[in-house]
Amino acid sequence: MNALNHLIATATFWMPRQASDVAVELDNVFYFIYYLSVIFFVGIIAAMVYFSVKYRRKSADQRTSPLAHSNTLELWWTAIPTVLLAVIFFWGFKAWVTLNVPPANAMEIQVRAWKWGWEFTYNTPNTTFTSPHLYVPEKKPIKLVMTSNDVLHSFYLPEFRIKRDVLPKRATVLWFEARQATGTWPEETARKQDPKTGKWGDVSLSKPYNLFCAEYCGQQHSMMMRKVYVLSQAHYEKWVVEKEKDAGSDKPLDVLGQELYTSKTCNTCHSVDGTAVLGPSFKGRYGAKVEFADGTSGKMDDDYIIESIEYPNRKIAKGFPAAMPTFKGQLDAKQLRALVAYIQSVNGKYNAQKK
Amino acid sequence: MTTATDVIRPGGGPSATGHAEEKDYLNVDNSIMSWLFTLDHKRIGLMYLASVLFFFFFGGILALLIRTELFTPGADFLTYFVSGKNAAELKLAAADLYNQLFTLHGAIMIFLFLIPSIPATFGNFFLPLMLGAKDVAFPRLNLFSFYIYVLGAFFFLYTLASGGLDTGWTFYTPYSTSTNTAVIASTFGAFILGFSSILTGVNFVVTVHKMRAPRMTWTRIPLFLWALYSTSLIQILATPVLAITLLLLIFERALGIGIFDPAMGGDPVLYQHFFWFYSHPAVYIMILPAFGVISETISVHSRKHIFGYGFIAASSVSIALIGFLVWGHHMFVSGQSPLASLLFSMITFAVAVPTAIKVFSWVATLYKGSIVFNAPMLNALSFIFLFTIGGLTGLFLATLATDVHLHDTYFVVAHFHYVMVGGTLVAFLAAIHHWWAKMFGRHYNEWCGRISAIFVFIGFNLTFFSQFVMGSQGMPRRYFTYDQVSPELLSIYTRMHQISTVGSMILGLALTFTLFYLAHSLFFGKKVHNDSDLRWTGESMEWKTATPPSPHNFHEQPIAYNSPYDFKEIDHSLGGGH
Repeated sequence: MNALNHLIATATFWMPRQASDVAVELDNVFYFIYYLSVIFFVGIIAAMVYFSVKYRRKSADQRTSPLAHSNTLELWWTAIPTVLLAVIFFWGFKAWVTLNVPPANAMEIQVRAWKWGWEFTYNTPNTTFTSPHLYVPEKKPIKLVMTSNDVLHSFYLPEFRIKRDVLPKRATVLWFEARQATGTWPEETARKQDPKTGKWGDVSLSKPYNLFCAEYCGQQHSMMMRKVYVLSQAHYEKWVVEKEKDAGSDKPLDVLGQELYTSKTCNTCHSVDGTAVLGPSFKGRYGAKVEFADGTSGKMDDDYIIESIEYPNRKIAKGFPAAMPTFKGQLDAKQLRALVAYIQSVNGKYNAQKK
Repeated sequence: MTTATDVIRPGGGPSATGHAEEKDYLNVDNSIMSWLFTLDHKRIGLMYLASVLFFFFFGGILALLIRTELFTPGADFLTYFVSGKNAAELKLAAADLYNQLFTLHGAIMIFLFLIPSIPATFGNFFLPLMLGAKDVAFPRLNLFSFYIYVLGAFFFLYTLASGGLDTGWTFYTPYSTSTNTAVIASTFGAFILGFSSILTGVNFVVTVHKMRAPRMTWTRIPLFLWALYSTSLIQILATPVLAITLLLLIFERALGIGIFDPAMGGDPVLYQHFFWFYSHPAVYIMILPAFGVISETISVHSRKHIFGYGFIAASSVSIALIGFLVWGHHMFVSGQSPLASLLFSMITFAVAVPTAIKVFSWVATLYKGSIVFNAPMLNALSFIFLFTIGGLTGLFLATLATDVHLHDTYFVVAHFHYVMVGGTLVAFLAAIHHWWAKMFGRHYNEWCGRISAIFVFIGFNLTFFSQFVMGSQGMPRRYFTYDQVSPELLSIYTRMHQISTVGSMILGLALTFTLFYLAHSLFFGKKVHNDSDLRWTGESMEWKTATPPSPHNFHEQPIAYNSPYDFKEIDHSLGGGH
């Protein structure tokens, strides 16, 4: 826990924790500009206040100086800022090169963004699996290859000081190296007393970092947040083994569907309790007649569900906006069946034996 | 020097024979039609003034709604304005409302207030007066520009009635091609407003070139006009690019032609290039006139020749020109090539130098002056304080590495508010107080003016300095809620948002107070009977007309014998660089 406290202590008045090596380099540039700015600002304002007070009008006919320019002064105050600005530029450029060149041995993770969620795909020698949060081993360069399903998003880790826009139909790359593990797998918890209620409860000892979407992307832009867990190599390997097992397991379709329902963020627009959010609820509609926005209608059956996942704008339910992004190509046949199974189970119509 | 003052004694003062006072531009004809169809640049300037103030207060109310919502991390205040069957529905409906509020706040403040603010009001009113001309070169075109502005504004208001716009004022694709809100109406509004901007620019450039008073050489033009001249060049050269970009956006949405939307084979980064090619120079459209106002007020209220006239005039033009080559600094993390980012960063630093020179020159102007702390001067000093912070924080954003962290956070929000509000709005306040008595022939209450300047300063700093802190701590902009962040950041964000919201209330009250005492002075303010009633005068030609000016400005053609900064308090026996 000492290491953890140390990491939190790297947070200052201006900057959050330093989770990556590049954060240290970048903060040095930041503070160089900062102190330079403070010196210039204090100098300018001190001169302004001093002159204003010293030469304030004491009598209506106060005489003033004919001074209207000075080549020496003007030359100096052009030259000195120019030199300092050049220093800032080059230092910023140096750190920028580091930010833009991932080491050759970096571990690659694929990042997918959509309205409004993130998904991380890991390719291990054994299999491929996905995770809704980003788990990385400490002290290892990680290369992120990112793309978006719909509009622009921006992958932003404030504690790592990195950010890059995520674009549809295009891959952007970002890399970082986490300094020190701040999480455990499985997450360790401690008993802690709530100071208000006096009740004892479990709190996580992991201190995950924040993942924000920094490019405005519509309604739930501010809720498009995930966590970043930095684990020790040993804990990370444990997590990978767990996920590999999960990916290969034959869990019931409706359970898999329920997992996809949250990890693919269906839940942000479709409720399972009958209330309409941005899209229609999954409950109470399965097998029923659906009115479409173009005046036609149809039955909500398995085919309609799969069609709507892949081509959401073909048959829009009446009274709802055409807001859903397509998930075509991101779900395999089994995952599509799982989602159908989950919708059936929400409506009490799932029969595990039948499938 | 004395010659100039003596020759141009207009008919404003009480005539020696005691006959009825001559009509001024305000009371020459009181009918509504005489205002609606006026070709007088002064009346057109006032119609702009009323319009931009209306939109400023409208945009300001939207800002206060935004600030109130952000006082707490979760969704609360705005949920009272929407309907929904349960908490989840309310939250999402409120999120939509929030997105429309910040979009309209930005779009209204930029397109309807900041861009026309100083040039269209004080520029229209004082450009011909300061040149010694009887009007702008094309008075009918000037009136036409005003009505184009009104038409464009109606399109913007239409977006409110038709269910809002939620793209942000930047209309980034492909979000703007996919959202259901009124993108076409509002971009068409911005398209129309662009013509108003271009035509005003053309009018000013021609007026400055062709209608200067005899002997007014380029080095005797007041610096406010150098600033307006540079601004006009940008308006003429950059605005057409915005117009083309917005038309392409409309084509994409209406006709499904793939230009920017990757789903149709377009390129969203291309849109950002087009958009910022206009919108970065547009930043200088908003701030250069403010520089000009500060040069005038600082020198008049310290009775000193402006320091470094040549450098200030040249820096306005060079900022305008270099400003065309820096648009890519808005796109360091957009996926544009790192090499392009490198060049854009380098050129951005090149703009910092002329800007720094201006600030140094203003401070040097105070040296050995006769400084009086009235409302325009307090606002001008406040401008130097706030704009210096705005300028210096720009360095963090021009630097490649630090921008990666700070881009699209509240640090950027704070930075551009320090420049656009601390800069342009405070300069606008300096201008309105500086020229108020000259424009309306009535005095505002000086103590009210001082109190307003001080509270605007306090409220502004509380509102926006806290945003620098939360921004560098990572708080992204355009966030409706921030309750999902980790606990240590949540406590920082919450505290800073609360300081900011309290500050915004103080700022809002101070500006409302300003509006009230200025409006009050129009009817009850102390009357200016002749020039000796004015609390101050300058040496530039707008001070050589009657107060308020006569409909055709001057009775005799004024002649520019001297620099506009040659005050009679200046003691030439003291020596000093000339």
